[in-house]
Amino acid sequence: MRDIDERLSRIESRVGRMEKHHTRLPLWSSIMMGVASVLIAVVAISLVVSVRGPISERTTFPTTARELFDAYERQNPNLKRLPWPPPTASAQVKLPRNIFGGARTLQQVSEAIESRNIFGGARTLQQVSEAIESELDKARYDGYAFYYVPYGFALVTRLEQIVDDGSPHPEHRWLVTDLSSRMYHFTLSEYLRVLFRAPEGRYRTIIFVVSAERFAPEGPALTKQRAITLTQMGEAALRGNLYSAVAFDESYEVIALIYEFHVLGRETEPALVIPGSISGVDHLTKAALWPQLRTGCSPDKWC
Amino acid sequence: MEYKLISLETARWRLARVWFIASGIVFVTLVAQSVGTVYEGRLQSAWGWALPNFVPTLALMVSVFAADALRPYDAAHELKVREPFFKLSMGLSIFYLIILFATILAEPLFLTFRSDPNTSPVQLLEISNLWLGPLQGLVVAALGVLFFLKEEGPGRAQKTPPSDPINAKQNP
Repeated sequence: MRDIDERLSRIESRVGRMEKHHTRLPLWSSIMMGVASVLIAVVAISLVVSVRGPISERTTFPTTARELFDAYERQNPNLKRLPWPPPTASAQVKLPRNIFGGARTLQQVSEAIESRNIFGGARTLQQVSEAIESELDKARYDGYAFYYVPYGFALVTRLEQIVDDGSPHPEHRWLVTDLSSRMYHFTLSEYLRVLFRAPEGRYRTIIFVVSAERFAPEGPALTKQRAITLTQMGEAALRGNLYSAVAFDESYEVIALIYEFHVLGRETEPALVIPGSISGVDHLTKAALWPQLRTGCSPDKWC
Repeated sequence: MEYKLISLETARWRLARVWFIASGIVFVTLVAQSVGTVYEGRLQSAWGWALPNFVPTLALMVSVFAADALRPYDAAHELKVREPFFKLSMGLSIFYLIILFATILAEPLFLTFRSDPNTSPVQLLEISNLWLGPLQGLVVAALGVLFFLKEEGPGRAQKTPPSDPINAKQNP
């Protein structure tokens, strides 16, 4: 009996130790697992942040688009770039995004343009470009050039001669190399104008900047000659498939920068007018661009 | 052959009236153009062309009238001028002044129909010296006789010393 008792007591003590041991193991392992989870989470977050950039940027510009543009820049070191940030403009208009809403296919974009819903539903930068080009063609713009800007493109319209209210010059819209002092009509008022007044001219060029990069125009003022060469030196169309691949999402803005020049007399250098003599909206509407503005809607209240 | 005579004094004043009125119109026109910066950086060239075309003649007239202004009027010794010559002088003067003014008025047409768009209005003024120069020679010759004559005695006249401001004028 004594043997049996001793054996029982040894078994009980073993069981007791085992129970104690058994109760310690889950606690230890759970601590270890918790620490490991935290470490894994930290590593994962840091990896994500390092790959995709800060959260603030990530929410406004997709990583893939940024990578596409970075790769595009590396592959094309001789890109024709617009001075960045662009020179200070006479006026600027941020085109509201809701003119881009609605259509989802290129066909719908085309239909939207025809129905005067200008950028309706453009989903890629390429489609935005086509929408702008279509509007320029309708407004009888004779030429324009494309430039690369950070994460987007810029479209520079040909320098045109305008009258005081911003409308294109009725007869000499594209006569910009010489300020004509001739009579446009054989009337007494026209005769007296030429006899007693130096030739006066206003010129305008518009730069549409489509970019995800925020900017404030600054830097050396644009000259008339530089504005002329900008349309001569740029690309005739957007190059490559990049712009078809990049989505025109919320991170993008379309800003029209209007540069207005004024000259009195042929022998004086045209001066950039800052601020412009008329508003940016007036410039666009008088240029027959964005007919929605003609109804008196402001850029803030597009209609 | 007999010619009608008119008083020299009368002839002078009639001519002076035409010259001062026409020159005044040209002057005012040029001032208006200058204010309107029509001539831009070539303002001096424009005035350098215009002033020698009428200022010396006006100066001659003023100096002659000034010299006579202090003398008592003597109707008995008044000089007479043959009317045809006076009419010739008047006609030449009017024609010259019309051409002078027309040169300025032609600028808008010149600028409209020019072949070279870079041509300046001043260039037209400079070109006009081709026809204004000879005309001016004729006018000065005619006016010189009428304004350089000086009363010497009854019915006689002589030329004044050659203090001729017309000859002193600059050619553009």
